[in-house]
Amino acid sequence: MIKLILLLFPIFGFSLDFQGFIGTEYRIFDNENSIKRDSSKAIEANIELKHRQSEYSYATTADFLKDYSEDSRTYARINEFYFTKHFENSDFSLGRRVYFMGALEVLNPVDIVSRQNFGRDPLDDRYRIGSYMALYEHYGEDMQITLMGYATQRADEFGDSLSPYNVFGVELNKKIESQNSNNYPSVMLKVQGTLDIDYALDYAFGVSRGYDNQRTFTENLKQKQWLSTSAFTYNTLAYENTLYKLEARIADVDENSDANMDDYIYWGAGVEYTLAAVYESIDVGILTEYYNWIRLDNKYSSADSMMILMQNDVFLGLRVAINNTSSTEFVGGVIFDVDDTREQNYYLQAKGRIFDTLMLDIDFRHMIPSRDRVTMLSLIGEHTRATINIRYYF
Amino acid sequence: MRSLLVLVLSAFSLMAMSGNEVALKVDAVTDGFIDSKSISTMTLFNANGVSSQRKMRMTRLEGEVGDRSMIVFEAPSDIKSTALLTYEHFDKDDDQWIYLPALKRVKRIASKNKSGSFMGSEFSYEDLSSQKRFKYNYKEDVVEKDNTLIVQRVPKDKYSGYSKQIVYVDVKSFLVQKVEYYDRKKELLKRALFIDYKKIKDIWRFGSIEMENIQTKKRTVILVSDETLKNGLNKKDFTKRYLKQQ
Repeated sequence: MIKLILLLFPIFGFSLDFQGFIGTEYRIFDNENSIKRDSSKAIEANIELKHRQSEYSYATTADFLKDYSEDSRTYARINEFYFTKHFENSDFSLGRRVYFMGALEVLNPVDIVSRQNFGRDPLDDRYRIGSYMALYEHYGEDMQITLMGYATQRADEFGDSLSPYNVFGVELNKKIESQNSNNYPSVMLKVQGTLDIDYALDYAFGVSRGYDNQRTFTENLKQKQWLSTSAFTYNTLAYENTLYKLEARIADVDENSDANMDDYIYWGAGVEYTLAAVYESIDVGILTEYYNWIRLDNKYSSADSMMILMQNDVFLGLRVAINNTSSTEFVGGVIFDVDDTREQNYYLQAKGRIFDTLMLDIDFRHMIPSRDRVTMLSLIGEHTRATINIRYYF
Repeated sequence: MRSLLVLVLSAFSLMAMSGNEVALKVDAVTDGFIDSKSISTMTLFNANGVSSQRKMRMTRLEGEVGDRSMIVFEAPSDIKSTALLTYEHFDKDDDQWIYLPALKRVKRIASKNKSGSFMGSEFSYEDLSSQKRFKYNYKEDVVEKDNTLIVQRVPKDKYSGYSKQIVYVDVKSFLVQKVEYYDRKKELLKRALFIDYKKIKDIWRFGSIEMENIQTKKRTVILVSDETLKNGLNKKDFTKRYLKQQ
């Protein structure tokens, strides 16, 4: 009720921009583990309200999903709710919001602020949970400095015991075990900008101190998080029709964290090449990315035990934009493990507009896990999923 | 007698004009807007006449080495608040970023090849960028026919989607009336009609453009409304900061 009031009160005082969607989602699963659910259907809604004046702005986003097959996936949440004070060369924000960092397409090792909404879809990182934060951004000529204090102490959800993505067999404990208090804030300082020399380079460098983005699970299915200090960078270089991307984060995990966790480096590099108008108005994008997770101490945690999905993986992808009145687009690709697990993850998505306001989105995924090692995919088993999503946008 | 002399001299002057000189005159009547704000409605028609609409807020800042522009999409609703920021550079590749509101992400776009379709329309990014004269090599010969000067120009950018363009310019006002675009195979690809010119703060601005693809029979009409010039915009209004705040 309080959340509803928070969402509605600005309507009485301000003129608001609003946008969002309502939609339906239908999924079919083919699971190696036959006791798991073989279909699901849900309705969803998202509404974003924004108000802006010259010196301040306000934004809130409400998310709703009702899954008729799985109660634990159902939620209604004010995912963003923040005020921003605008100064001539800086902005100061306070509240809950989704904050993105990174350059790569499939996964962003540096994107540590707003955690993925695993309960909504563990295979799709577009869905994020807003973090409570105080954010200061200062803007120079070609450079920006960001200082942020934020909190991410929210337990992950992986569905009920029949969910194909719940590898624990029972619902996870929703309490989170933290090295310090759950209210211990994380801080982040970042410098980013554009170097405009012979070729354009968008760069970002930063440091952070606080709860690490990775978590482990204890025997009683509590989630455990620990403190680390990390440095990170993400960069995009544009050269002719090609974008070259590099993203990396090095984390120094607290020795006394009791997490049995090594220091680590998580990095990725990618190339994106675009061919415009290959046939009539059709554009084709070719994407290649590589991801690597390296533990630095070799004492405790392996990538398998940390459930790192892309620890030594290559992504090959293709994006085909038809550029017709329906904005039809096809995106497909495969992620494959180049070490001895040989795990493969195939993805194909087709989407397009119907009647200017309805968006039809069909996606297909097929995962082939390791047969010799215990990994996150091997616990899920061989898995195929098809999703049909229809959304009405307003 | 004096009027006749002026007329003869004017005609002689026009006949003697080179392509470059016509382009200089064209720039003179359309340049100097400093900055602009407008709402554009873009209607896409397929070969069967079925239409689809896009609506955008557009701002542009004139620059010595290239214009800066921001396009914020209002419709269709699924792309509302998506914004495109472009820094044109006459001497090197443009800088271009897109803001994707659903992902809260600003993403750089490789902008070397500008021949791609803009939002599924018959306009390419190249068509919507500045048309200043130093982006083209002009043929010296100018043909005058039915009060129209016909000029041929070739884009200097080797990544242009066009082998040449034929520009039709009104002999009195020096406003561009029509442009024919030839593809890399040197075949006529598209034809643009510039309609409904009006003067805003002493600068001529077109009210709409109709672009027809001769080869596919598709066409797109852009209707410009509520255009204002010299609004006092500056470089700060064309940054990634404002891209995210649309």
